[in-house]
Amino acid sequence: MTALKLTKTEQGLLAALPDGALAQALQTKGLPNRRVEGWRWSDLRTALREEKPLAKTFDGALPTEILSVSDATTLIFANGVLQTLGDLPDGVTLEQAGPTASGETNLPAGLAQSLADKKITLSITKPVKEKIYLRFIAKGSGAINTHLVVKLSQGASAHFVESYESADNPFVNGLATFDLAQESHLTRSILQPSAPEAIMVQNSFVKMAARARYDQTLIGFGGAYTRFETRIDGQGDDLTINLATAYLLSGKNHFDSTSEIRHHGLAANTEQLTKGIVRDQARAVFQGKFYVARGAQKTVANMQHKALMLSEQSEVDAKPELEIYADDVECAHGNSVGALDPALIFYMRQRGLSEEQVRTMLIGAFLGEVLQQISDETLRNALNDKIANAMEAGHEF
Amino acid sequence: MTDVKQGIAKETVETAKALETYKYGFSTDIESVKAPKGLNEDIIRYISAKKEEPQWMLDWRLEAFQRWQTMSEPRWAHLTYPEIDYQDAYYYAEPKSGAKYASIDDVPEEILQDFEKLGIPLREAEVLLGVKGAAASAAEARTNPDPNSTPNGEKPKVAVDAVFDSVSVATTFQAELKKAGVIFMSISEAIREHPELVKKYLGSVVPVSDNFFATLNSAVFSDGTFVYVPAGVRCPMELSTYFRINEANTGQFERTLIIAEKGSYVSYLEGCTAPMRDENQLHAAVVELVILEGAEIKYSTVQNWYPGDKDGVGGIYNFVTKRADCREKNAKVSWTQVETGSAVTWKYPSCILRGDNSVGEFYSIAITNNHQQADTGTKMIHLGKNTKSRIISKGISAGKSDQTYRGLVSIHRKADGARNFTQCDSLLIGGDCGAHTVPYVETKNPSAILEHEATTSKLSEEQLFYCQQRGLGEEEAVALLVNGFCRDVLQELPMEFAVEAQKLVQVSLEGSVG
Repeated sequence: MTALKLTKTEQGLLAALPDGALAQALQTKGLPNRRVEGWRWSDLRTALREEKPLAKTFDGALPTEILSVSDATTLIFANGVLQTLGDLPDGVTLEQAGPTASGETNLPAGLAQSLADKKITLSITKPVKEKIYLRFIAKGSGAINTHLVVKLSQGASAHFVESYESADNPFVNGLATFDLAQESHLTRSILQPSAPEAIMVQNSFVKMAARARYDQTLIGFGGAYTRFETRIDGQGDDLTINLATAYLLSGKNHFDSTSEIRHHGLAANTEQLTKGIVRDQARAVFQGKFYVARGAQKTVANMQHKALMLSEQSEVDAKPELEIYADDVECAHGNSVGALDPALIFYMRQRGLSEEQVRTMLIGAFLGEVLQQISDETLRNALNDKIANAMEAGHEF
Repeated sequence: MTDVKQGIAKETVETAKALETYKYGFSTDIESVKAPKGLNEDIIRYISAKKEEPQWMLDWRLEAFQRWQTMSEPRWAHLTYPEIDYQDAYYYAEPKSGAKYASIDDVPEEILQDFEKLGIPLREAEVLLGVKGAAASAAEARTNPDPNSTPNGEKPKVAVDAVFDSVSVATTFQAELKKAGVIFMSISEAIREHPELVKKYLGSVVPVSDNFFATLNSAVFSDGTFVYVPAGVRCPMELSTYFRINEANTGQFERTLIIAEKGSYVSYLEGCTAPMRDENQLHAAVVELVILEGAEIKYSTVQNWYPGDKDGVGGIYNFVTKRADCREKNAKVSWTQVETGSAVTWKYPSCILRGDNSVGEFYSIAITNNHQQADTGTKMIHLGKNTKSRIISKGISAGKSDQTYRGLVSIHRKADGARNFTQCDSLLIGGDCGAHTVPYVETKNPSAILEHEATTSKLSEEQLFYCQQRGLGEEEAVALLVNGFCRDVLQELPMEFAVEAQKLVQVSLEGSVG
């Protein structure tokens, strides 16, 4: 076998990495590319053709909030560096440490661990009412790495609101790990506004103990390359897992939602709903996988992906996957892709609505389902507005 | 079967135990001539010379071999098997008395008997029902009144091409088919007698360098079937090929090429078995279907290669590339497969829907038991306008087996109005098996409508209870429910196969309850 010829980007990353398994993996395999299953539709190697040196510190004023979150403590990461640190709610502590050597086999996750400015650990020891708003702001054209560790003690609960805002053309690479002890409950509501020039990979690794609950809602508008990867390792019995994703893609945006949920305990209840619309030359990728281990009986898991294609040049690729080793389970997945029903449009136009209004209404209804699980009404409305505004702006999401 | 539930009749248990073993595991003692062990250019020259092939065919093989040496074995499937030593096998074996016989009377009695035992009489006069290779029990079928007989007592005819190790030993009803203009012969004969057709179409659907196993096959293929149905002809009988691996340590690499000209129709059946042996044997086939304007090919397979014993020792490694090319408008292809055999199955019968309005169908039942592994599915490539495809896949896993449905539906930019419906259901019987679904869906056209559904479940306790209350044994009840689960696919099989397949479903699962 001929040795892999590293791209400039890979050479740069290699130089920045300490010697070890990760550096070796990068040297022999390169960045994930279309030849690697799981990256076949989202080739990071190609996306990162242009070299991205490590980013400089953020200069200039922070952009105004894109989401007003009431009753929340805000933590801002600008180009990967934690900026302000206000008072944390009772029951939440924060620690900062230097970057850690990585044993990760997932390359982007490993890079985030090794190259992040600091490893930030948030510990949550009891039910926290106040929301925690994490703003990740990036600009410039460098590589930005973040590494966040979140630990929820037994019975603790928290609601994270997160926004990933990128200006210019940086490479944003984040890793967040979530450790959910027994009976803990984490809610994440994530907004990713369109970033047509930015390349972003966000990994979320979640570990769950018995009776824990994890609710994640993600609204993504994509970018030059955007990938959200969620891996859940369900260790305990009686878990509740909800993943809801909506994507709205226009221009040449690329958005990849990849997830793997591993069920090891008894009687987990998993619901995964992904809905999206693509227009112009945008491309959506959905990869979902449910793994049910031997003995993980009574698991009930349901995965749905539905996409609307609104233009000739758009593309939707999907891979809803099941891997099941237990016989007393109910697992299902569904996938459907199509255009808006012309009969429906005709019907509503007959009733005096303009085509624009009809589309907005139908798409709004289609995507609205995803926001259902956000119980905080103000937040749900705010996110709903983001979708509605995008629709009104027509081709500019 | 380790634990037997109380209340199951002893006889049932014993019958089930007996059926856990493989019926076609006998081998026939017949002297054979083999190429030396191993794989190199000389072996390929040897095979080509044995078949008296023209130079172009040899060149084609050698080029494939060169390509193959640069390729590596695909390992993306959900299968685990030890490294295959491609040098530790025979690539060619034929009965000593020669490859092809002028008349059925010259075929050695041992071979005729071998096929007879499999339920495939090769003497035309004896052909009653045709392929019984997949029958749960040929004897049983004989004692039961045959549900397929036509009202006047005539049985439908099936022409058979019998492939024994590396050679085709007999092809029946050739004369009658010739009258209709249908060419039905072994591929070796076709290379000699119809080189222009073979040259035109061979490798045009599955290119030489398509994948590792197809390339290997292109280099070393030994025999297989060639069918040519001229324009406007509806083939007057079912055509079928029966593949039998007899020799130990021998791989079988058959190549099948079927061409359906404009407006023609043919239904083709394929069956396969092998003796029980402790070592694993390799089977790497390539099947190419070319379907022209308005033509239709219905291709049915009952794959019952030796699956290995209860502990997973032995069995066939089955790596098959099957692809149909609907080259012109209104063409139609329908793959139906019942997969119950082989230790390892790697098989994705595919449809390239190039012509406008062409239709591809894939109906599959895969049943794995003991230590079997199957990774199977289909690819539907929609290139033309208003192309339609349908995928119905039913997977049943029992024992310690693992099974994966892997499929691709791809809608290309110009495939306006394309439609696909996919349904893959998996059933797990027992807690030691696995069932997996890996569908890939790629859509580049907004006017396409794609739907995919998949479920995984176990047999409903309620339904089982209901059946048992009405006096059925547990295994009978399971068989009944499984047959119901598979019905969508079973009904797509030609009559000749449907009965056999139904029995096969039953047999493969016997012993899995408890």
